[in-house]
Amino acid sequence: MNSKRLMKRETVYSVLGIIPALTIFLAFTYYPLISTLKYSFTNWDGFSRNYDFVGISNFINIFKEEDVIKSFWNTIYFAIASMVLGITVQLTLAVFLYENFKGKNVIRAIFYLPCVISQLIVSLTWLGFFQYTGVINEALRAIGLDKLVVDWLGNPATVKNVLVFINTWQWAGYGMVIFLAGLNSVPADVYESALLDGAKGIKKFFYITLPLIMPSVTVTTFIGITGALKIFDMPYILTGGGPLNASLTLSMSIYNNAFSYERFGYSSSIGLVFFVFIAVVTIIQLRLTRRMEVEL
Amino acid sequence: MLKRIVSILCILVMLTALFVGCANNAEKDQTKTDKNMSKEEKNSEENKEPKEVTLSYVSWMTKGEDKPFMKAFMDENPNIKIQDEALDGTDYDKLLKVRLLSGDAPDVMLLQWAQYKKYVTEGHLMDVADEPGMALLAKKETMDEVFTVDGKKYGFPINANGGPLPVYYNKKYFDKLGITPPKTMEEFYQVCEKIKADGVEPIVFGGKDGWPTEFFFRFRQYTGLLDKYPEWGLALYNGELKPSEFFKKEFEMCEEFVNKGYIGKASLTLTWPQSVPYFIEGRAAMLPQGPWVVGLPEVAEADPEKFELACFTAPVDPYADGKKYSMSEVDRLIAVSSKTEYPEEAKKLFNWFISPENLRKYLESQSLTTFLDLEYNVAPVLQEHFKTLSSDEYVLLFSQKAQMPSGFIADAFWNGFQNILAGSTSADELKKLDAEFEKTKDAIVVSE
Repeated sequence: MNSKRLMKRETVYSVLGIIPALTIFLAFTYYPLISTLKYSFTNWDGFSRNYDFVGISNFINIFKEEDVIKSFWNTIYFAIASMVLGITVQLTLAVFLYENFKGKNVIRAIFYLPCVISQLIVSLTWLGFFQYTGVINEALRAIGLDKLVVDWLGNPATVKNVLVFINTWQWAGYGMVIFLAGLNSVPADVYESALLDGAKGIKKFFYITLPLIMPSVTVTTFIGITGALKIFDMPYILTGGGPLNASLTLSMSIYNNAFSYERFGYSSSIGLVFFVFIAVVTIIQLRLTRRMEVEL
Repeated sequence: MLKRIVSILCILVMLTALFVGCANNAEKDQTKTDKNMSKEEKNSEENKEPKEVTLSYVSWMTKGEDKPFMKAFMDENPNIKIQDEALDGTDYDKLLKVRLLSGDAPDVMLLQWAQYKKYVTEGHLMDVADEPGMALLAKKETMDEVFTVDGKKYGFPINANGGPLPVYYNKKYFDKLGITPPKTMEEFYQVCEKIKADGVEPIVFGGKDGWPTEFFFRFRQYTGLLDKYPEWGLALYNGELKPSEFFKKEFEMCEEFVNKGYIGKASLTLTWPQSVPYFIEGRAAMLPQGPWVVGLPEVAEADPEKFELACFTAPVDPYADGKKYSMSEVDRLIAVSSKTEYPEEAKKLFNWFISPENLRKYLESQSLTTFLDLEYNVAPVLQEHFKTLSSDEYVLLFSQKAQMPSGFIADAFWNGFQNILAGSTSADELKKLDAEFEKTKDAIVVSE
């Protein structure tokens, strides 16, 4: 009886304890989401007090508008390229910096530093490098390699890869830390047994290390994909979505429709579709990578 | 036990937050009561000690151009402190809209013409029709009419842009090549060819920002249709005209400039502040820009041995009647927020800003122009340009019945010209312009 009363009291205290956080979470996360859902069925311009319900026409228009479709494919390209290149770089760095050598902590800190810098600062700094008159091209001109000068941000063929490069550079240290934690959790005796069985080098990495650090791969892939799909600041500052919409991302398209074209209702509908898309992609990714995880 | 302690702590925090919230409300209620005090009470309060107030002032003067002006106001009004904030000019409308919608409206703000009627309609601006400073606007009937909405006025035009832009050049460089400023488009092309042959980029724009390219091409001739459609916004809105017809020549000219190599690759990714030193350093020979370039520190600090700023009016072709038609627009207008907590102080700043004496100082210090009847000194470099524009040869029109949303101007035009700089064709961009216009059509504010 006493334990039942104790349990009940604990439940009451737990509920009371969670209420403040839950209230804030509901107010700042779910209320805007529900408002977005409502506006996505309207023609609200984001500024006026009046608006009309327009049914599902906003959702139909998403699949008709060239800019939105282009921004969708740009975002997908950016997410896939950033994820593949990003994880490769992060894992490589982690494997090399896992080894014991003098100064490894300093190098780790150097690689981690860019991810604590604001994306605005990072973008403005790289803008100075990649502009046509930026540091890279000026350096090439100075050493007489004018032929190698490239309009990095002004050429639709190069601009997306420049964005992928900067994103990979900025987040390399972040993923590296997660992979290092994964590598540290692999017991030494597993490696010893593998060595006795003749596993060395690449084989050891692919058959022993990688399966055992799959939880880290799951986490970095999840963070990488969601971050890349939502990318906004960097292309916005570096290119504004140009040239020829080659770097226009879906988040920018949502922003432009809401604040430039004053189509807040339509923009909300893109946001919702995008939200569902990200949710589906991440669920699939989590299932796939978790299936590959190995338990000791 | 630990859970219980945590729960009790959480409840205590909640209760504290509640009390603090109530206390704030009580303070606000006290402020409200202050506002409801009789005039006599207020006066006696004011006589005791002037209330210290902080006003927020928002503009897009990111180079700190307005700071000395605000300081002068604060020196004269020590009880009013100005928090001068500059938002990025390229995204000014977007950023300001977010501020207004989130209840963070500045007390006094500069607006762009495309924002005016929309902001009035949505009740964000205060009626300032009876303010003493508005007397200057009332003298200019045509402008006064433009600012009147349902018998009320909500802003004051600080300065205006009109007609073809001044094209800046380095006189020393032109002298070296034996070039005289061109007066016709044919001569302009010859000048560009001569400069190109010398291995220098003829023209530079701060194309990353979009508006410098748009300013040069759009403020030109409107494909020879401006005399027929002086209210071009309304004509577009009513479907009498397509944007691709009205702006055809401007887009084609931009493409021609790119194809002939008159605009270099750097223009696409340079911001407008970067385009100024690029021009001063001699990497490009001509910089089409607004009159404010004359007042920039980079110009003042340039080596006089190598650089001497001069300008000519961008040549335009005359219409069939021999006149040169062009568009003019209010550039900066000042307004007071209808939501300001300090209406008296905000109006004080508003009136101080637009008093003839201060407005003159403002225009002269930043090398700006106005259509109002105000005498002010124009910088020597620009005198010939303004003389040309005010001659009978030019007809400057002010479209007022349909106010285009800033999104149409900003995204449709800016992107269109940027895309041409990136290699797109004018035909493709004109097609896109029509599509973009359809997107923003609902946001056009039409006045009868």
